[in-house]
Amino acid sequence: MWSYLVRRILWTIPITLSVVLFTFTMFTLVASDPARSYAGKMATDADLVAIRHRMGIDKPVWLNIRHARLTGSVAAAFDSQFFDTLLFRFPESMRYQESVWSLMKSKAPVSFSIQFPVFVIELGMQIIASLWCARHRGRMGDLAVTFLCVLGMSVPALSIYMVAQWLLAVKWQLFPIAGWDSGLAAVHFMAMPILVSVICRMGAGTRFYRTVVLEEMGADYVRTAKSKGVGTSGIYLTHVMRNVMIPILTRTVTALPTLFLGALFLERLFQIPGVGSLLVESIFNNDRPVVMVVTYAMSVSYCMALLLTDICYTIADPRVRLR
Amino acid sequence: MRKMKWIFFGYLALVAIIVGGIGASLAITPRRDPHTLYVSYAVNIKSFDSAELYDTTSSQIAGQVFECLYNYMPDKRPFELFPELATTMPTVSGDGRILSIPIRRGVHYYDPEHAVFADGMGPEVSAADFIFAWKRIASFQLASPNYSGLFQGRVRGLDDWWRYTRQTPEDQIDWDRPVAGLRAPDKFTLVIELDRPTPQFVYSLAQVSSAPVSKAAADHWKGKLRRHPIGSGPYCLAEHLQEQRIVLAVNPVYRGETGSNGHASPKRPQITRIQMEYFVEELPSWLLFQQGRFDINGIPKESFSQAINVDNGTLTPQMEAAGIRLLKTPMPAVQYIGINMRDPVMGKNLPLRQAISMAFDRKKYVQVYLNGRGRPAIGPIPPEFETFDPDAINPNTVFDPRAARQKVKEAEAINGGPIPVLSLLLPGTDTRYRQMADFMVSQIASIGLTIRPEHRTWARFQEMIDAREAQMYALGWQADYPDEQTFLQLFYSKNAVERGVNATGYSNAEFDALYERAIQLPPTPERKVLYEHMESIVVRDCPWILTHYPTAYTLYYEWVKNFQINTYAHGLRAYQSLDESAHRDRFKHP
Repeated sequence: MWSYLVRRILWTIPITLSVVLFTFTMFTLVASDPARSYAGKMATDADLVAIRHRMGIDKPVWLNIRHARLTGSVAAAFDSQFFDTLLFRFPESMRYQESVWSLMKSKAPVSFSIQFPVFVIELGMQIIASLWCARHRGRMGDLAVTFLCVLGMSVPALSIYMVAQWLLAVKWQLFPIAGWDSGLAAVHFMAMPILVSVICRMGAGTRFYRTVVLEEMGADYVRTAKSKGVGTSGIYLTHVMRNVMIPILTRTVTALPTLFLGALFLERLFQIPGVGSLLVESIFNNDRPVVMVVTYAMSVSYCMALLLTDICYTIADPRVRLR
Repeated sequence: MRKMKWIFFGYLALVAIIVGGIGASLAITPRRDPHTLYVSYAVNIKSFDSAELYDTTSSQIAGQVFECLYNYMPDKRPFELFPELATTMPTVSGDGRILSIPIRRGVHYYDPEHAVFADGMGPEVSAADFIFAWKRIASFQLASPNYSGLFQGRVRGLDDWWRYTRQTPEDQIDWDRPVAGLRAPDKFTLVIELDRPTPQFVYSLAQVSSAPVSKAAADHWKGKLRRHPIGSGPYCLAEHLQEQRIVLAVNPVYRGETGSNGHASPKRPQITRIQMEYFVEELPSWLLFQQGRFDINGIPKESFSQAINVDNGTLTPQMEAAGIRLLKTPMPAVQYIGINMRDPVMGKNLPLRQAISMAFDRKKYVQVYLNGRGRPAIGPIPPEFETFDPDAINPNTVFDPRAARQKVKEAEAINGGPIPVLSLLLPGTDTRYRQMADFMVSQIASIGLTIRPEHRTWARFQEMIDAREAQMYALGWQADYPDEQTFLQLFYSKNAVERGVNATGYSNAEFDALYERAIQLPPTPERKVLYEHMESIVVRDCPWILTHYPTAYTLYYEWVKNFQINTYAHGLRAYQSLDESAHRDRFKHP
């Protein structure tokens, strides 16, 4: 198992590098001049030269050969935009005027504080609803839940957010419309984003788990358990649940990185200052350092989540061995 | 089985804690402070460092914290400057190049965190602080976006300073190194020497970015100065949560009255706290405004008919009954479609430009697409400027499809055949630009021409204009100061260099000669005649398809007293007050 883990961690390096290389190349080739985005309408050459210097984009893109020749040092050749990115020498965010790491430090907990309750609530509700549907397969209750799931998946999340804001916050005044606060006071603004997120995400998960549970219900071990006189609850909660853990783990563990990365539109519409809204704003404003750091974080955390999934498989199913 | 039960009950307990905690928090509604003004803002504030202030929202917010040498009288029209940190208007030398400005004594910086100055009160604002602040703006290492707009090519020796800072590492810059055009003969006298007479320069001294900076504060905070503003204005920064909230509190050492010939503000502003919440989307802030949580707000396009009678542009009875009031502010701005005058099809074909201009129904555009929030444009200089004549008739802006079709025939003769498909570049992909493009396409199709809209991001749009790759482009210009020159500079041929403000590349020798004469003159009847003549040349040559002069509609509750908008002035909140009893009577929430 340990050799497997070391191998997987080593594999993470080229994957992450490829992601960074791809993102960097796309930004360099396709995106507009970030200095121009920052400088404003009346910027002259003098302004742009100074801004590019401060952003570090006045350096050569890949290798700084000229600098290496001048200094006679091979190391100087790596003083370029690409190696700055690769070696985590990110300049400050031009839009936020502060270090990207400090931005991430302040915004990731905000995203987590919304996404974690959503994750916990939706996962449990999805599993409970899918087990219930599977048990009452083909009856009115199952059909009704399936209909609501499909409805939830079909209606755009943005529409649900806006209707919820109007109905729950404006019309009935149950929740604050939007906003955020620091510390514990932020809890006041969490209810509606959590509620609508759970509603939006219930459908897909419930449908998926229902299918998985139904598949297991036809398995031989379920028939054996029934013939041995095991009760319905016992069959579902003990036998079936253990066997559906693999797809559940695959789905849930890989979703863990998104707990810190937030939801793009949700954060924007409910004015939650999390990583999702940070990423949207940074893409719109061509804030390269922020996008690069978030890309880095996403690729590393996703690779780690996949590794964690593999480890969880061995716990959920003793037949699985990592070699 | 038993294990699964425990997991299940454990999960239920966790959900109950989460739901219970959130439910309990809903009962705690934040209280409304009777002396606080609640507003929203939609642009992330990059910096509170005056050297880095660039966009309108940042300048408006920081304008409550900083003071400048001059400011605009809030309610006076035409716009007029008054000395704020200066004691008088500048004394100008005979050749118009040297400005001597006496600085007000007894004005102190205030450090709300007491981090730089132990008891909060900083030293007196002095002439040296202005010189230091402007050197910072002209520092290559700071990369201030204000250098070109305020000082480049204007102040003697400052461009040399920029070159010096370019060659010098940031930590080795000698801030005492003299700049020939910036002198302080004594602590409270500032002398500015310009490269050439520039009467408009005094307006730069009223822009928030020209505010003085305490060297002690800059040395203490270094790059973090942008989060810790230390000014002398009516308010100070009490709290700034990035992309969330900005709170301003009254500056306890604010001196109030600004001078005998200035507009008087109270010694202690009546609004003691301003809480600004960041809302990038219009809809949530609009809903909160309707709940009385915000005191001032704009009107989202989709909710316009809910607030305003579309027929007559007044408030709907429901809004009136809710105690909401409407303020319409004509903006000192013009929106237009610029023509690349170096384009082989458009540049040499005046009838083609005229045809497009005549085929554009401005009244319909303003009414249908802008909900009436504007006025059809007739010239490059908007209302509120002295030279604007509301009765003037510009034949190119009169909607006349028949005359436009005639012009198309003339244009085809000049072109030597049918006019090819024309392209229109737009700086965005949102609904506003899509609707504008659709309208333009349909209007121009009616005279037998075809336009292909091209939507780009703002940065790419700018790059294409700089490279003269655009044939036509949608743009606007808002005045930085109340002088027609701010618009006329857009047609001066020497500004048609790469990244110059003359993006059309328009060139007219007669216009250039008049411009060079006019910009050296102080505001006189002679200059007004020159400005009018220059505008008539531009109207005739039609390098812009003028669309409209925008009007801002702002709603505010009746409890906000003396609410006004002055696009040039800063620190206006100091003149406003709140009647909180009116709010309590109207809304249930505390």
